[in-house]
Amino acid sequence: MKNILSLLFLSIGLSVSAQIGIKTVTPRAKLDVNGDINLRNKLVVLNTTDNSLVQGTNGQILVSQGENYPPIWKTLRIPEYEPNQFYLIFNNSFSDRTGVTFTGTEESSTRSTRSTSFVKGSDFSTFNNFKKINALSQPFQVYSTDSKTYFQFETVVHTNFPANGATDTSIDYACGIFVDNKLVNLRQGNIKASTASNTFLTHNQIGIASNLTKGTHTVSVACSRLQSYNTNNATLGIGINVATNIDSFIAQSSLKVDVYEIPQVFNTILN
Amino acid sequence: MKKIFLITLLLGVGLSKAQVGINTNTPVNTLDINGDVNVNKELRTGGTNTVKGNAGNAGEIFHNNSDLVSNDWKSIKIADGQGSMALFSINTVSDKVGATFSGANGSTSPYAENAALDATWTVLTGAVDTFSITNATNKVVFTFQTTTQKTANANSSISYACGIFVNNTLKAVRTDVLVGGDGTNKIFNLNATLTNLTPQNNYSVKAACTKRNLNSGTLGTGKAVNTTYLNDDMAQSVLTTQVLQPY
Repeated sequence: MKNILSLLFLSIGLSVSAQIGIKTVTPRAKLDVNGDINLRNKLVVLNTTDNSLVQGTNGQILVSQGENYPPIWKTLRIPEYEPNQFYLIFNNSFSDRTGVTFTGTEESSTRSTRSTSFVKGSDFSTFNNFKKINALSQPFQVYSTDSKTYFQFETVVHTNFPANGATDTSIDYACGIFVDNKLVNLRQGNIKASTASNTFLTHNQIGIASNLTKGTHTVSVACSRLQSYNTNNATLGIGINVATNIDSFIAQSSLKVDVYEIPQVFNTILN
Repeated sequence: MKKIFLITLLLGVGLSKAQVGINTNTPVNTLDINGDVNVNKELRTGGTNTVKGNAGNAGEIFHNNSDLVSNDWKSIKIADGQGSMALFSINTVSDKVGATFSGANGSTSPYAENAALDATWTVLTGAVDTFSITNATNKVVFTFQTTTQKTANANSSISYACGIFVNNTLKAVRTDVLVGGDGTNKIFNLNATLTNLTPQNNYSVKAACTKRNLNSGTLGTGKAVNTTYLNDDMAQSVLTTQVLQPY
């Protein structure tokens, strides 16, 4: 009998445009259902921009548009995770304009044992006369034990060589990428004097680290002057100018850090 | 039995085409509510005459699957760590037009940050893009690569610079020198990071090059100037712009 009354009430509502209550006599919306609702078919909402009725395309979700507007079907723009695939989780990039400089006497004694000292995992303290580029020592986060971390470093190497004479005037240098003060990747190079004074070059370096522990790590870049040939007094600058033919803006360093992970822990998208 | 009969009768009489309109006389769906709906309990989907509809699990989202007759509830999750500082937008543009320089030497002075994009610079017309910043905390990363080539004999080196201009002001630049005989070419790289640009729609970014000391030779940036050793495909320039922001 109760059901019939409700339906009767509903039928009355059809003509008087009042608010309809189901299991309530004080409806607070055009249709106020004091209980659950079942949809055997699709929910269709009004698109107020063109007055069309929309049931959403495949995969869309219903999103509130706030007071006075109907909810709207939207496509969720986040990836669906496939198992055993890497996803870009952390990404950051840093720059530095102070760099590091080396006089002729600041050569690394580690050069004599390059091939045995410059090995992956070696501690920064064992690298003699390596100087860290200040603003590139930065924290990054790893959230999965199955990860790859990609470092892309670029800087300018500059010297105040005079114009080249007959002999080969050059300096060997090296830059290492360290994670938590352990060597990940090192590249060495050689900068030569030429017919023009104050030569410079662009140094590019890519390093990777796999399966770092979960948590916060610190990346740093440290460079050193390894060996000088036919020059004792030229200054070497890495990420900084040492003569006025270029400036610190041109010589700035950039370090990009990307962490790809196979996600192991998931969070809901809600807060 | 009497109850069922009465309800059926009511439905048949009161409602045309078995559709119910609330606050409308012309319903277009089974239930057409011209107004808001208040739901005090579960919103269920997919019920039948015998089975109660699914109310979803806590945290699931109302979803449309076009393969199903009714809506369903979907669990959507993101990997731990996503959203701290993340790739917000990325685009790559390329250019095969390049720029050619000859004649008088250009300035060999260093370049200042925020210098204007003036006539001494030639924009690589394809290496032009736009990006938007929506968060005050942001990083913009540029990766630019091109090939440069010189003419003239081995005794005359050619120096040049290529830079990245954002809204026509210089934000990153590297200089380089080509040394060698006619046709000598070289890969030029520029990677730069900008921090915390002011939020704005449609920043313009342009890669442009300028001549420094030509020593009477001809310089091509992103352009072959001696086609014995290089063509325009090989000399192509690429500019990638990545915007990193927290969600």
